[in-house]
Amino acid sequence: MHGTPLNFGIALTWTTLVVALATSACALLWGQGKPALERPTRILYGLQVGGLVTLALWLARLFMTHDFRYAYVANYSSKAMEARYVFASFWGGQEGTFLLWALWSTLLAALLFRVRSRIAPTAIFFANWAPIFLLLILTVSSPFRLLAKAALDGNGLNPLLQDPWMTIHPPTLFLGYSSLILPFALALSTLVHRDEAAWIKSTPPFVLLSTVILGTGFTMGGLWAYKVLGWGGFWGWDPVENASLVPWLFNVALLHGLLVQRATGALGRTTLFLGITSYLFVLYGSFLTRSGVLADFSVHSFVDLGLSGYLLAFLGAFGIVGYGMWALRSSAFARPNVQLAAWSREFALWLGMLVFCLMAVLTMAGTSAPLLSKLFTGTAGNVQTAYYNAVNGPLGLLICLLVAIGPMVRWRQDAPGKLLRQAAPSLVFGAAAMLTAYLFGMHKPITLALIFGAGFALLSNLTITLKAAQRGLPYAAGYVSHLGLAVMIVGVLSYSTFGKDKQVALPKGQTVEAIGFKLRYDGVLPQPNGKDKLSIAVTGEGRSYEARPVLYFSEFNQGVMRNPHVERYWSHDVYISPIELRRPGEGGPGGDSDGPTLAKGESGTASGMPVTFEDFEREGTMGDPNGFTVRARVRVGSGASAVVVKPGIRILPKYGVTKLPADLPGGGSITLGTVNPNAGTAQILITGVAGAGAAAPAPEVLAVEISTKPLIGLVWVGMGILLFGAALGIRRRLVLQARAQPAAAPVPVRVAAAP
Amino acid sequence: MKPRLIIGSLLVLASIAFGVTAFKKSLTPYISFSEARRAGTSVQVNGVLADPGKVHYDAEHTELVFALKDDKNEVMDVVYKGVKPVNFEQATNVVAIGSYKDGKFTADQLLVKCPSKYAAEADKAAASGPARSAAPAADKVPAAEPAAAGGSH
Repeated sequence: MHGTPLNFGIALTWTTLVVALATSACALLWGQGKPALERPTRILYGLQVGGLVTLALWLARLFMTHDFRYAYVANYSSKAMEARYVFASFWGGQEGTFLLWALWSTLLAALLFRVRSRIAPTAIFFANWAPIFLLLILTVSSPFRLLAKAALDGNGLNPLLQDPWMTIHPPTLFLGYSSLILPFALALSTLVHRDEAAWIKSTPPFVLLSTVILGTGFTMGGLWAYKVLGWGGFWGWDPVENASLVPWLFNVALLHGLLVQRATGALGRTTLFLGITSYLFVLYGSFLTRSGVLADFSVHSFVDLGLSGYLLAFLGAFGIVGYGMWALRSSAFARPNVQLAAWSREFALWLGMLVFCLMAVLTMAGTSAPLLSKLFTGTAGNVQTAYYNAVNGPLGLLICLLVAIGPMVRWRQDAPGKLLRQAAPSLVFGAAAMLTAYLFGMHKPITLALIFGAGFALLSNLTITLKAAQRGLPYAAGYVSHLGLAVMIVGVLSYSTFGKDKQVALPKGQTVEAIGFKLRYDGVLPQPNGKDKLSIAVTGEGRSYEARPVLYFSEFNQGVMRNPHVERYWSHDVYISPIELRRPGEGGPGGDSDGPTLAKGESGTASGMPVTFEDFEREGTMGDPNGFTVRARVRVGSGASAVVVKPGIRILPKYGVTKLPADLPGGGSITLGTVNPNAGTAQILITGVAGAGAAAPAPEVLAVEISTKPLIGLVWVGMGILLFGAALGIRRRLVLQARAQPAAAPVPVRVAAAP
Repeated sequence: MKPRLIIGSLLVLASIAFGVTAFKKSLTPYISFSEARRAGTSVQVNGVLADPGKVHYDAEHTELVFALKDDKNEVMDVVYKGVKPVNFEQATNVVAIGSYKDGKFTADQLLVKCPSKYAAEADKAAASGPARSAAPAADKVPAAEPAAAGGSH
């Protein structure tokens, strides 16, 4: 890095860092009862926002103008890429991601200026340490580092990531991660000022905001995995997924804890602890997935770029300050005399919080398995997805039951007998759901129990939602979310239990039957971007259609990439994912060497037929983003019966090489093996011809997996309802806050100077 | 006693006990091939492909047969009943989870580690000039791309 000349980006990074430090200092003094510093804090914060926005725009501009003098731009984009993916390359690597994270943190923490409370300035002070740490990392590992010599073209973004989801999913997820700095900062400020009332009043909208954004972020990830990446499901317990789920669970626990605290005054220490913990788990998850410690175990893992040390320092500093302050100052929030009665709303909420925390801890323990096992046994191992299902199944059942009963129970004290009568219809509905599922073939005890719990929760929350909504939908916010959760669980259980799947091999042109569907593979449909599609004629379940899953070889990833075809019905999806395509002459690795390598004008014998390689023909120029094709003019046969055919190869920058076989008049086809224009040679392969001495022709065979996903739509619908409920909650909180304020009080926060 | 304390501690203890059991059951650390042969139970082995050219995949029965070599240069045949993982031949490391029986290792699950794009890009970025891919082409089309690049005008 030494010798890197100072450029605009690097200079602005340093400047913004200095401004951010000054902002923090002013906010601290402002919070310590010096209202004169409010104005300087606001001005400096404005400058910090300006600095980060400019940095982000500058980096985006470097990408859009293909400025390959910059290492980061050259590493993650190329000229051939579509503009929207060039833009998305912004967060294709770690440096850009950290810049985005710093920008989001700063923009979100600006919301704290709207909090009319004396804890706001100190919260701004604490929140600002996130962008400070990130800017510090950016000064060490900058996206504005210049190459020694400008590249002519960039390396391009992994084609796997060149997907519309890439433009929206990572920024949303990072917005969610960043948003958790708000409860963290408010918790620390509350500890400083020992102002419980302000904490209870100011925090809920931010906690709900995080629930919505982070939830939206990982739901998008699930949709991407299901629709495009072909995981077959929406959740794989991948470390990156877990790293977003765990803080979300702590945040949801905090949300419920705030309800208890507001109603009873209890759990003050707990809610502060949860506010601190959820952000620490954002940092821990970030460290775990970015540091490379899980490199052997995750499809998402990044290789260590030396940044893990900084992330660890980030985590350590926030952990020590956060938990340290909690340990020293939270005793003021203890309410030893407040009891939570066994049959009360608050007790159900508290149990729910505990279950959320246990889910989070056990999920994180599984994600950290390589570290934990290395620590305790000396060898790194990993847990399988079965572990996550095993631990989260029973806890999920508890959540279902609590979600079903909780909203019915009254605050303070309720009578079990009365509660049972009230819950009876929903209990019966749950039992009916369980019986129906059993008759349809669901026999595993835990899934049956979960279906009962989901059914129970579904009807009880539907009843309560309808009742509460009479006063206005926002009053039903929480119940709407619970309803969504129940719907989602029904979807998950249904598709994982009732789904059928079968792997089949489809020889080209032949109809094969599998799980009630007729499938016929009709060949490859080459695409201009190299992501070739496969044409499969499908008949079944009252529809006839052409499925077009994607299968191509990626030069970038040195591997075969696959996207499924998803055929949607109202009740289920039919999911067709390609596994492998075997073409003639590509019998497998090393299996295609059976043909003569000829120079221009030379003759030889391929599969028993005389062939003469006449010359190359080129179409386009090398490096053309639309591709470049080399064909070989080959004369096959001898004398008057000879024909001239032109098999070729097509080269697309970043997408690798596609073979273009040519058909022979008498049947069979001819392809090129190794092509070497330097030496002027090409290898000629003939297949599908029953010539003398030729091996039996290998037909083109496509292997696919076809599966059904009954009721999978409920997963997305349920998650949508859950997030919609949380969004309603934000609205309700803001309305309540506005009402609580004296009318027409746009006066910014003034710290009460006198006690 | 407060009901909160009783129920809470029961729940926490039960979860920890259950979690630790599930964790231990699911955690299958790597062992050497000779240990795997003796173990008989589900284990996790870690190695490289002994010969990437000799990977046999039967698409019709979705059965993958290959040989793994561990860090002690010991070779073991592995059978995997399932779909061949993406870019399997290019794998720099293969983790197989399963058990050894009847002279071969039957894997229930494969984890494949491939050359990292980040590492590759760090190398490429270090080189100046046109940032063309220096990685070898796939074995199905050896030398096709670099060769064609040389042949264009």
